[in-house]
Amino acid sequence: MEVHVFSNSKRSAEWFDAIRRSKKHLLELHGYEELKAWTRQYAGSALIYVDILGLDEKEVGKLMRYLSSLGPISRKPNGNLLFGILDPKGALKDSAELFHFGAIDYIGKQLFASSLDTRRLDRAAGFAQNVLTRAVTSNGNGANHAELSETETGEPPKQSVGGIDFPQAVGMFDIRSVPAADSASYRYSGSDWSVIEPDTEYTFWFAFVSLNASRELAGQQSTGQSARLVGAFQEALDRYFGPSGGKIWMWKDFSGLMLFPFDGTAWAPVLAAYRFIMNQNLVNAEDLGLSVPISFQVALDIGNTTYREAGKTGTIISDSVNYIFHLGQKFAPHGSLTITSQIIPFLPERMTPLIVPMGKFEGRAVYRLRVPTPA
Amino acid sequence: MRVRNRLQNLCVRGLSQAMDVYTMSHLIRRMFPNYDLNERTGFPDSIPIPRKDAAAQIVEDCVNAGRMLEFVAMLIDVDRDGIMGRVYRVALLRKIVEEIVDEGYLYDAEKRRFVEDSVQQRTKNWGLLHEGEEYLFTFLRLDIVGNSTLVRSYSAEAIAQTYSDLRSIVQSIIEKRDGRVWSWEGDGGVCAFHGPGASNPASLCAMEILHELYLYNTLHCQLSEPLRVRIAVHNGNCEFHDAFEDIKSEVIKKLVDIESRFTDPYSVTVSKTAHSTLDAAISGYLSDFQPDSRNSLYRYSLKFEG
Repeated sequence: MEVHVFSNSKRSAEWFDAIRRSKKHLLELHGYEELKAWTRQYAGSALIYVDILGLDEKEVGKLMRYLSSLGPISRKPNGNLLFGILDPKGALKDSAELFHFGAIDYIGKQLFASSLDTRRLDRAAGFAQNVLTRAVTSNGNGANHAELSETETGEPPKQSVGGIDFPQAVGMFDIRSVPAADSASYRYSGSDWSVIEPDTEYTFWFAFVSLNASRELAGQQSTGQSARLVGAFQEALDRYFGPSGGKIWMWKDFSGLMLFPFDGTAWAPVLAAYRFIMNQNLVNAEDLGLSVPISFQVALDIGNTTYREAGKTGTIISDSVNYIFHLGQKFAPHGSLTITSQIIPFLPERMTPLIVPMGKFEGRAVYRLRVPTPA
Repeated sequence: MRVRNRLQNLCVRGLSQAMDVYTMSHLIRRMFPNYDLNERTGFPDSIPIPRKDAAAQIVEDCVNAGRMLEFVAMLIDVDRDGIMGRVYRVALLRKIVEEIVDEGYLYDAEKRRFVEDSVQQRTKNWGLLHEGEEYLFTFLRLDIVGNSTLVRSYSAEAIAQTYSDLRSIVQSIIEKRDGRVWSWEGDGGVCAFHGPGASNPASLCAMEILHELYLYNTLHCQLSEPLRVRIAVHNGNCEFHDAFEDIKSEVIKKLVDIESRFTDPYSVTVSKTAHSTLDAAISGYLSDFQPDSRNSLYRYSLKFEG
């Protein structure tokens, strides 16, 4: 599970470090002031802890109302942020009130004084999933769940893809709600690179690819180590995306843009990206040799650009290239595969349950694909 | 491996030019601890053995024992590291290695041994192992869950196609990491990885098989239900036999036990001994569990986040 901590206290951040060491959950630390911006753009399921150190009663009340609008008791269709409150000084008079606002955990002064037991986090996450399941099945969203069915034992209904169960009931995405792709603007570049000429405009599959935690890497590793890491990452990209025609086209620091020829039919780049995100742990262990894994990020789109060879792209002006970079850098969540509405028509029907709407980015509908992770 | 006369002659010349008879005798005892050069050549102790005769006897004995690749790998070590701090240059080494490459082998500098060039050939024994000798292996056993029910529920064609697809997935993943499928019985099989660090590729293969099976179930499976497997990984010393049914080993018995008794459908179980030799980069993805008081095992499976 992803765990995000919002705190300006160094001690609070250190307290959560046991999560990182346990490797069971992905931990990310943020400043308290990043909370609103982050929650606005985040559309996955995560457990967040917010530190209320320094807030007065009125500010805590305001914060709770805001968090409750995002959490499982929210009536919003994507209200699936689970939150806990960190109260290092034990300032709250009525901590039970937090649960009325939908909080699933409270870490008070006494608990904070001891070290974090990650099993507590596991229990909190399990409790949260139960809350979510009940919320989804009882708040009316269930009307959309065409594939839900009660089990004989009366347990919450299970949905699965590829033989792996979803942890809770999820709303099925209606693929008919996606507008048809604007194929009139397509300039097909073929099924391989053989017909592609420099200085000519074509339609391509674009894949923004990134090694995350780049700030942490930059701080911890020497330039040589970072270069070797990026080199190994690029070799893995070639291995995964090369067979579907993918080439690294632009690269800066820890992220880049890959291009794939587009013939209007094949969807191989999506499958390659899906496999790449699913195999993050294998790539981390085998190619990057990292015992503390780094998450990857892939964002996919289809768009037009003038083609020039890699390294000669400095003067290219393309809305599509700008968009995919913005999508990858500003919106796409870490560790996930993000796709635009342009991609949806190419997905096989069996993948439809994996689509999760994420809202709009720069005026276009964006989605992520659910990808199974190590249990 | 077939050893041509040219290779044999190059080795004799290389060895005899590189070192004296005493050093040769010392060197070959690394492979054959009780090797007696006088006894092998027929020269009495009182008469010095000519270098070329000594080298020819050693090379011939290596060929007859089927250990030529091991011998040449040892010459490479000698050329690089010397013996007891003294440098020995094997002048014809490059040509010797070229001859071996022509026979379908590559030198793996990390493992310090020759391995089969998988583009040219792929044998059960990696071209190295000898019938009846004991080696350290890591085994991966895979079994289809509910095989009997599946066979009764679907047409023979659908089952044959599905099981054949599974075998292709498994084989390509195993061979990519230099493993070998030693036995396949329709509803599963046993794969082997050779050497001290082999639990790493074996565990990675097990994980990747689960990933690929999920994709197969999602996109291609003809059956109306997902195909599920149990996978176990265990390591230990075991005699090599070309015919799998001739291998009678406690390691294999334990492997079967772990797979059939302690492995959940759609998951991988790694034994404690295999886990203890895993790199931290891989072991971090496994969670420990204790199915009973005598066993401590490690599990890998997939889940969807919320």
